[in-house]
Amino acid sequence: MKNNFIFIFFLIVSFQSIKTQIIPSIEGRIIDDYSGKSLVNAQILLLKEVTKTYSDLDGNFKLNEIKPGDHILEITFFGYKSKRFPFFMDKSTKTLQLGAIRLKENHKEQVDQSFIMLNEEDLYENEKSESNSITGLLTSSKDIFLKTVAYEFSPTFFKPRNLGSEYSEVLLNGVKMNKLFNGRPQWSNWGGLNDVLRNQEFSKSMTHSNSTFSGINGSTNLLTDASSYKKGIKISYAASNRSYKGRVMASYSSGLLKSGWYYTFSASKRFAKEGFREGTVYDANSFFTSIEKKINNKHRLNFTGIYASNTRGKSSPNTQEVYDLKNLKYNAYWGDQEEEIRNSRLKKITEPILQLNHLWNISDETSLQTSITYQFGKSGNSRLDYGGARIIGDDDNQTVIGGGTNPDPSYYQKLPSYFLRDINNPDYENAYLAEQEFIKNGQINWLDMYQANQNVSNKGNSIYALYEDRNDDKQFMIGSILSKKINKNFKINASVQYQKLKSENFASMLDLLGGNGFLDVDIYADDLDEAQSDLQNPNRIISEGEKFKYHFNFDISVLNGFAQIQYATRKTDVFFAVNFNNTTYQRTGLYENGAYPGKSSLGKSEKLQFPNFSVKSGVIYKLTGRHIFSANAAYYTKAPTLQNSFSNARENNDIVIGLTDEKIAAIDLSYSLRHPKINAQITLYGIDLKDQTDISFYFADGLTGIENSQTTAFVQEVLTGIDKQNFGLELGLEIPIIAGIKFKAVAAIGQSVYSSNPDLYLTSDDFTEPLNYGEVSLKNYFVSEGPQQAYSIGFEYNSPNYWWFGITGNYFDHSYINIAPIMRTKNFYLDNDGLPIHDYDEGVAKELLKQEKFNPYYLVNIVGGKSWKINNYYIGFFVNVGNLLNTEYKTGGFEQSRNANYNTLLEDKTREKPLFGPKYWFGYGTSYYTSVYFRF
Amino acid sequence: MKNLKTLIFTIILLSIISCVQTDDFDIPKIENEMPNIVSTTSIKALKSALDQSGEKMYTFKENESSIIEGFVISSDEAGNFYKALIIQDNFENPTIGIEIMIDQKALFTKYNFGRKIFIKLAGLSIFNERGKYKLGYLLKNNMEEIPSSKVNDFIIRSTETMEILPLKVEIDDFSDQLIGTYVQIENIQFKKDEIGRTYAGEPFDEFNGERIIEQCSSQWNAILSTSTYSDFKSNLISDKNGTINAVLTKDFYGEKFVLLLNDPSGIELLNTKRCDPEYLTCEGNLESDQNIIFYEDFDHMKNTKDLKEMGWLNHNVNFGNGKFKKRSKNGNVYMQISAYNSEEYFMEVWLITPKINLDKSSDEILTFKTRSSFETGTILTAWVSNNFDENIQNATWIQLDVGISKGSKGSENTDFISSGKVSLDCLQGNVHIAFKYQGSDPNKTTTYDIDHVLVVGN
Repeated sequence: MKNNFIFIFFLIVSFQSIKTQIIPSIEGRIIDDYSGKSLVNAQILLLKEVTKTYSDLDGNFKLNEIKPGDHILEITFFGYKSKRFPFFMDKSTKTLQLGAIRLKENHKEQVDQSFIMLNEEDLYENEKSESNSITGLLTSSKDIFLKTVAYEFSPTFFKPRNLGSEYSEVLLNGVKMNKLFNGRPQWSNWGGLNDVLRNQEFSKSMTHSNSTFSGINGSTNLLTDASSYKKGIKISYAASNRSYKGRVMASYSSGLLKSGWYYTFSASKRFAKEGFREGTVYDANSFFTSIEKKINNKHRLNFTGIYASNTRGKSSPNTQEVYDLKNLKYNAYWGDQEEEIRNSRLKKITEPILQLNHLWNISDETSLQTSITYQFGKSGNSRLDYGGARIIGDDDNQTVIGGGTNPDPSYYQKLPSYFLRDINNPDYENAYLAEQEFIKNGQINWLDMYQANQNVSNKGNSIYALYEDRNDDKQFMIGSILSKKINKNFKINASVQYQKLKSENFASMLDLLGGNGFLDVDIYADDLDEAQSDLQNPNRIISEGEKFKYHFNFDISVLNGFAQIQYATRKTDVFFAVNFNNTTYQRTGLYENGAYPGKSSLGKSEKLQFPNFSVKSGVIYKLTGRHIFSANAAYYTKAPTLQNSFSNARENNDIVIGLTDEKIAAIDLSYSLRHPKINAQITLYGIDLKDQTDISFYFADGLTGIENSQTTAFVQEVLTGIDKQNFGLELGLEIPIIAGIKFKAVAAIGQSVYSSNPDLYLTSDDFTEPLNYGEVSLKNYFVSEGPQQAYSIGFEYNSPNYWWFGITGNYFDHSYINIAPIMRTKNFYLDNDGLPIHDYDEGVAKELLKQEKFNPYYLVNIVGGKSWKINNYYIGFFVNVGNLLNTEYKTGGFEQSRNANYNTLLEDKTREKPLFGPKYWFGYGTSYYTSVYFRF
Repeated sequence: MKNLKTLIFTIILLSIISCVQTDDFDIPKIENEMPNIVSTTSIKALKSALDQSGEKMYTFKENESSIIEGFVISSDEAGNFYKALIIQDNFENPTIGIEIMIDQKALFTKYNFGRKIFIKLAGLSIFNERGKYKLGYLLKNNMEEIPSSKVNDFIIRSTETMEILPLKVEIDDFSDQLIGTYVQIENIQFKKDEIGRTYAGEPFDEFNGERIIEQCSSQWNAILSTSTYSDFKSNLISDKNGTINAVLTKDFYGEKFVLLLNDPSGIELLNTKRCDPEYLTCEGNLESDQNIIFYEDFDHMKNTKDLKEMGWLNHNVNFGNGKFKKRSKNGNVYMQISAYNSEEYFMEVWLITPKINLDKSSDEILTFKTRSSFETGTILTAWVSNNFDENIQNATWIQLDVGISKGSKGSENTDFISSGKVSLDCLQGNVHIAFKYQGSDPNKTTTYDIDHVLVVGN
C-alpha cells in the first residue's frame, strides 16, 4: 500500500483519456469474485519489471510503458488470494484490456498483529534501561525477514540491526510521531486499534520513503484516510494470557456516501486483572474516527481522531536470588488490597491525537499534502514514596522527623542474602526466616501502610503515599509534503515540518493512603533549606492531586526540511535524499530546589540549539526481474534527545557537559532472488554510531573523591562520547514445497559493540562540583540490545478449505547483560586518597568485570486459524501458542551500579548470594493468543 | 444506519461487562477490634524472677503462656531509637520498664507512643545487661532482635493509645528501678560549656552525643544522649532553662544513666533565666606568677592522716567512711576519692586547704590539677571561702569556675589536667579552697585524683 499521492496520482491517471498514450499499456478492473464489488487499492505488479500500481476507487487500474513480450502480472489484495496472469504484449497493441479480474476472498484473516507483544517491554521498568520495542513496526511488512522478526523474534528483545526504536520513525499520515523526549514512538498512543491502522506504508531500514527522510532503521507510515477502508462492520474478541486477558474490538466503515463523505469508527477495550506476570493489571480503551470529505477531484479533507487511554501495571526486574525463590511470573510491584490486586507502579497514558489532512492534487504530476496535528494529554508512572515526615519545633530549631521503611518486598535487606552477607559469620537462622517470609508474603503490604498512616503518631501526615511522575505534553505540528513527477524517470519529494512541544513535568500526589497530607521536603537532606522542593514555597503540606517534589517545563521546537530525488529506469532505481533539522531545547524551572537555589534551578535554562544535516542515497539494480541488487548509504547527524540533554532536569537547569550531536554512518548491500521455486534475500550492513550521550540515575556505594570521606550518594551518571559499531548479516528464505506448504528460514547474525571509551561524570545534590571519573573502559563490551544472533526455521500450510497452520523453531544467542559503566572507571580501583586500592589484583578485577552472556535458548511457536463464509458474513478464528516447550530464558538484564569499587564488588561477588547482583527480565513461559472475528 | 446502531450497542455492552480495577481504591476498613488477650504477668514479676534465678538470661519455653502488657514510651520517628521499643508498666506513675529488641525500622508507625501492647513471652528471652533489662530473641546463644517476620507472633497491639503522663523526678532520684520509664525533670538547663554545640553533630561525637544537663535544685547532673543518626543531631543546644521529658535508661556500656529524647519536642526550654552557679568573678591579672603564696603537691605525705598536721580538712558531711585518700604512683603522691563500693547513696566529701593569706599580695591566681577515671559524670567542684572556720555549713562558699578532668569510662586515666587559672585578686584576708565531691554508690562514682594545688601572686 503506497502513499496517498501515488494512489491519487494513479487515480487521476486512470481517469485520463487513453488518446494521449502512445506506449503500450495494460488495464483492467479488480472485483470481488462473490459480490462483484470493485476492490480498491489492490496491488498490481508486473513481476519481471518490478513496476506496480494500485486499483482506484472503482477497482480500475492501468500500467503504462510495457515492453513487448512475455509478462506475468500479479494481483494482490489484502484478505484475498493473489492471482497471477501471464500475458503477451504485442508490439502493435496500444492498450491491452484485461477486463474484470475476479479475486477470491481468502478467509484467512491476516495474522492479527496484536498478538505480538508490542507493549510487553514497556511493562518492565527500570531507571537505567527502560527498554524499547521496534518489532511492532514491522508487522505490515511483506518481507520474510521482517515478518519473522515481528512474529517470531519479538518476545526476546531482539532488535533488527541491534538498534532501538529511536532509530526508526512512526508517522501518522506523514507526520512523525516519535516522542521528542527519547526519540521513541509511544505505542500506547494508538494501541488497540489494529483494525483501522492496518494501512501502513513501510520503508525498510535505509531505503527511501516518499514522505520522510526516515531513521536509520526505516519508517512506518500509518494511513488513516477514511476512503481507504472497506465498507462494513467487524467485531472481534481476543483472549490471551500475555499482557491482557481479553480484547473486544469493533470497527465500522461507511464506504462512500452519496454526499461525498466517508466515515470510519473503531473502538476497543483490552483488559486483564493480571497478565502473564503477577499483578500486571491492564485496562485500555481506544477510540478512533476518521472522516473524509471528497470535495472534488483535486481536493480532499480528512480528519483523524485517536483517543487511546492505557493503564498498565508494570513488573519488576528481579535478581537471580528472587527468581530462585519465586518464579518467572513473580512481580514485586503489587500486593493485595481487600482481595483486589493493586500494583504500585502503574503506567497511564492518555494522549489523544487530532489531525486534519488536506490532500491537494495540484496536477497530474504534483500533489501536496498539508497536515495540522495536535496531540495533548498526560502520561504518568506511579510509585510509592515512603519518606513522609512532619516538622516539629519552633522557627529557630525546626526538625524534620519521620520516614518509613522501604515497602518493596524484594528490598535487599529483606532477602536471605542480607543475613548471609557476613561471609565469616552468616546468620543462617535469620536467612531461613527471611526466606520463608519472602516465599509466603513477598508482596507489597498495602494495609500496613494504611495503618502506619492512620497511626496518630504522625499527626495526620502520611508516611507512605502513592504518587506519579507526570508528563503533560501539548504538541502542535504543521507541515506539508510535496510529491512531484518531473518526467517519466524523475520524481521529487519534499517536505517541511514544524513541531512545537510544551512538556510540563512534575510529581503529583495520587493517594495519601489514609493520611491527610504529605510534607514536601526531602528527608535525606542535611538541612531544612536544602531539603526543600521549592524554596519559594517551603514546608508545604500537600493533598491528593497536588503537584510536589519537582515542577518544570520543557519547550522544544523542531523545524525539519526534507528533499529527495528519485530516478527510475527499467533496470535501475536511484534515490538521493537530504534532510535539514533545527532543534531547540529549553528548560524552565517552576520550583526553586533547595539543593540548587536561585537561577540554577528556577527560571529558564540556557537555550540549546542543534542544527543538523543528513544525507542518504540508494540504488537498486535489477539484473533481471529475478535477480535484484541494492545498496544504500547514509550519514546522519542527530540532535541528542531531550532526555540526554539535561543532566538532572528534575532538580536543576544543568546541561550535560560536552553535549554534542550524534553521528551515524551506515551502509547496506542486498541481493534478492525472486524465483517461483525460491524467494531469498541476503543483506549485509554496517553502522557506525558516534557521540551518543546517556544519563542514568542510581544510588552508588563506594565512590571516591567526595568531600568528608563520604562514599555513598544518589547520583546522576552522565556518559558522553559513546561510540558503537553494529554490523551483520540478514538472511531470509522462502521455498514453496508442495501445494500449500511453504518452508521458511531466517537468520540475523549481527554484532554490536562499544567502540570507544566514553567519558563519565557524576552529579548529585550530595556534592557540589561534578565528579569527573574520566574514561570508562567500555571498548569491546557488547551492547545490550537483546540477542545479537537469531535464527528461525518453519513450515506453513495453507489449505484451500480456508484453514492454515504454521510452526517455527527459533534459536537465540549472544545476548548480553547491560554493564554498569561506573565500575569501568578509575573509581573502581582507586582508594579515597587517589592511590590504587591496597590489594587490587588486576586478574581478579578482570574476572569481576566480565560481561555476563546469557544462555542461548530455543523457542517453538505454533499458529493456525480457520475461516468460514456464511452468506454475507465472515467468521474466523486464529490461535497462536508461543514458547510451546515452556523454555525459561532471560531476555535482558543489567548490573546494579551500587557496588562501585573493587572492594565492594569483590566482597559482594564472594558472597554465596550477592546483595546487589544483576537484575534480569525473563521471557514468557508457554503463552497463547487467540481471537475470533465476525465481519459483515 | 442499523449496522451503526448495532455497533454502538455492542461497544457499550462490552464496555460494561469488562471493568478492571486499576487505581481507584478506597481506604480499606482497618479493623479496630480489641484483641482477645490479657496479660498474665507483669514486667516487674519478670524482672524479679530473673533476678532471683541468679542468671543473666532466661528463655521462655515454647509452651509457656505468660503474657505481659505495657505502654510504648519510645519512638524511632526522629531516629534516636534504633530497632528498639521501650515499654513501661503504666501510662501514668510507671514503676518499671523494659526494652524490646526488634529487627524492624520505623516502629513508630505501628507501635506508636502511648500504644498499649501485649507481649507473648513464649520463645522470647529476657536478659539483664548491667541493670538494663531487655527482651529479645535467642539465636545461636546470642541475644538478638526479634526477626521482623516473627514480630506479629510476639507483639499484639491493643487498640488503646494513652496519653503518657511522665513521671516527675529529680536527677537525684535516678535509680536502676526507673530504667525504661518516661520521666519529666523540671528546672533543667544544659551545662554552660554545652551551649552552642549541637546535640550530636560535633566531630568528637561517635555513635552518640552526650550533653550534660543540670538541674537547678540538684547538685547532680544528668546526661542527655543523642544518636548521631537522629534527625535532630544538628540542632543547637539552647541556653535556656525548662523541662525535659525523656526515656531514662543507661548508656551502651550500662555504666551511667542517660536520658533519651524521642524527638526534640521532649525538651522545652523557654525560661531565659538560667540557674548557673555564681562563680567567683575577680578580674585580676592572670599573668602574675612571681611569688608562690601556697603550694601543695602532697609528695612528702606518708599517709592520709598527715593531712591534719598539714592543716587540711578531709570531711565526709554524712560522717560516712568515704574520704580522700593518699595515693601514689611512680613516686608522685596525690589525693584520691571515689564513691565506688562505698555503699553510700549520698556521699559528700570536702577537702579543704589550710588558710591562705592574701593580704600581702595582689593578682593572686589559683591552679590545681585533677585526673578522673571510671567516669560516670562530673561530680567534683571547687569552692572558696573567706570566713571558714572549722564548720563547713556556717561558712560562705563561692564556687570557682574551674576545669575538672573528664576521664576515661573504663580504664584508668594517666594524665592530670589543669584547672586553668582562677583569679583570687578580689579576695582579702584568710581564704580556704575546698574540693567538694558528691558521689552516690552505685551510680555516681567517678574517681578523682587531686594534685599540685598552687596559689601565686605579686
